Amino acid sequence: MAHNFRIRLDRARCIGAENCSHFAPATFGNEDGQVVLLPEPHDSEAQIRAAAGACPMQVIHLDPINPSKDSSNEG
Amino acid sequence: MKDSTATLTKAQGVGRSDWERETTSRTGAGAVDDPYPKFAALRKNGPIHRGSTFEIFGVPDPTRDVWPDAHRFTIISFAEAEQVLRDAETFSNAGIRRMTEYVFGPVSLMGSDDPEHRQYRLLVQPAFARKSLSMWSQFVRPRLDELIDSFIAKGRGDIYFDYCAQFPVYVIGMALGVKREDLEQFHEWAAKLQVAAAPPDEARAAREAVHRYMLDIVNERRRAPRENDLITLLVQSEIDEGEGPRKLSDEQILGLISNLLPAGAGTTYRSLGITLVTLLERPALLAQVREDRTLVPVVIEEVLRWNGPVLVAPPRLATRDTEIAGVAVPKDSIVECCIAAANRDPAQFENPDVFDPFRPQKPTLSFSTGPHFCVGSQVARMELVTALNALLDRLPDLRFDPDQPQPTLTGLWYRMPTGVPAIWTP
Repeated sequence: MAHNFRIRLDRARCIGAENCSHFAPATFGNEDGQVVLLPEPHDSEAQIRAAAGACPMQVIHLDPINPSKDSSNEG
Repeated sequence: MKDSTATLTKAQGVGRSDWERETTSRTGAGAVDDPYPKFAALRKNGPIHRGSTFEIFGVPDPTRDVWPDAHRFTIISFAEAEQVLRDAETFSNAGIRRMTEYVFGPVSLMGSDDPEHRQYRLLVQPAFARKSLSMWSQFVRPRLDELIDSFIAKGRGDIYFDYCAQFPVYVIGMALGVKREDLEQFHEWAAKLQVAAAPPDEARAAREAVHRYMLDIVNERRRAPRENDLITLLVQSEIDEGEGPRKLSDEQILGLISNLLPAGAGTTYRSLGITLVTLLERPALLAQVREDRTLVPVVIEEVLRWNGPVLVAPPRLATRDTEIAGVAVPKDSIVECCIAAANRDPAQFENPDVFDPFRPQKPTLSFSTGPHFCVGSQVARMELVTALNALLDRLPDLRFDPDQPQPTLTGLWYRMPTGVPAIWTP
């Protein structure tokens, strides 16, 4: 699903609470106790924003994509 | 608050046995039923208020003697509560260590800060990950069915005491390796380990009893490790306290158990009780949920926002002079973030006082936030979903008992229903 942001994870700070996968189970997973981005994320923008907001450690960053610089990014 | 509260005595908290009524009344059960109108009134004067939560509600404060000279503040807004809970450098958990030393002893997940806290946290988190849920769920549905089997033929009963209260401690006890015949005793110890729920002497005695009991199991798992087993995971874990990785000591393992036990002992069953009261008060919604089980987790999440089992996050200690929403908070102040008030903040939730499972999904503070976010949230969610589904499966026409007074929700630090008297077709 194309969103106008790119998901960036600050894995070093992750505590593996898995609250992100509660909100956006098709986007965030867990490997070795820390968050990973799943291969083909297909949650809604609202779900992903809720997951980022609900992350207790604020590990999930949604960087806006500037369409003039990179119009092909699928987020 | 109800007018009748002035006449309530200590023994009139919620519970079936004396020790339970005493532990619940200590934290406000029977004294405060509906705290939310007070929060709405306070909100007009801003997000932060002087005094502890207990002081604000005029209820004896069981934590008063812990920090007798500290300035006390209570936060009722979502944004400021989130800010404080996430800023663990300015708002330390070290103040909780003093409050809970007699409960947790020297190892305290709740009473320590990073990097010490993070080490222990990362060590126990795998036991609570989604991948490890079977470590817990293997005990859940069998226990629930066993409980329902024990009372279904009667056609009526109080399912708060006979069902809700009878499984989370059982599950955590089974996961810890406790013998079935000792679970009742274990329940009492676990309840007394809840922060501020028992006087220090009783809490200390409960911790020592748990340690004595669990030491045998710890030694047994060292000799004979088991698959998919919590204590085996702990005895095999390593921690690096600056001198290279080494196995956890007995004291550290027993300390972690004392940390985890009370968390699993009270919050989950009280949440289930609150969920049942909420649904039984709304028969049309109950019927809808029974037909469409995808609504079960949605309803549970909204109950946790709208009337969760924990009103206040454990108090934080200001490590420097600071400011919250323009109010000066001096160093060494004790700050309470009121999760329940934050979850009804109109700046975060539209029509926050309305119970609406269909509202847009938004982050809540139901499991707190920041480095001390509830370690057991996935286990709690799984237990709540499984327990509600089991009731819907087996008692499909569950409704309030018309011959009993309708239950109320009550409590300040810890929230709970007075009971769930119900009838059903056997």
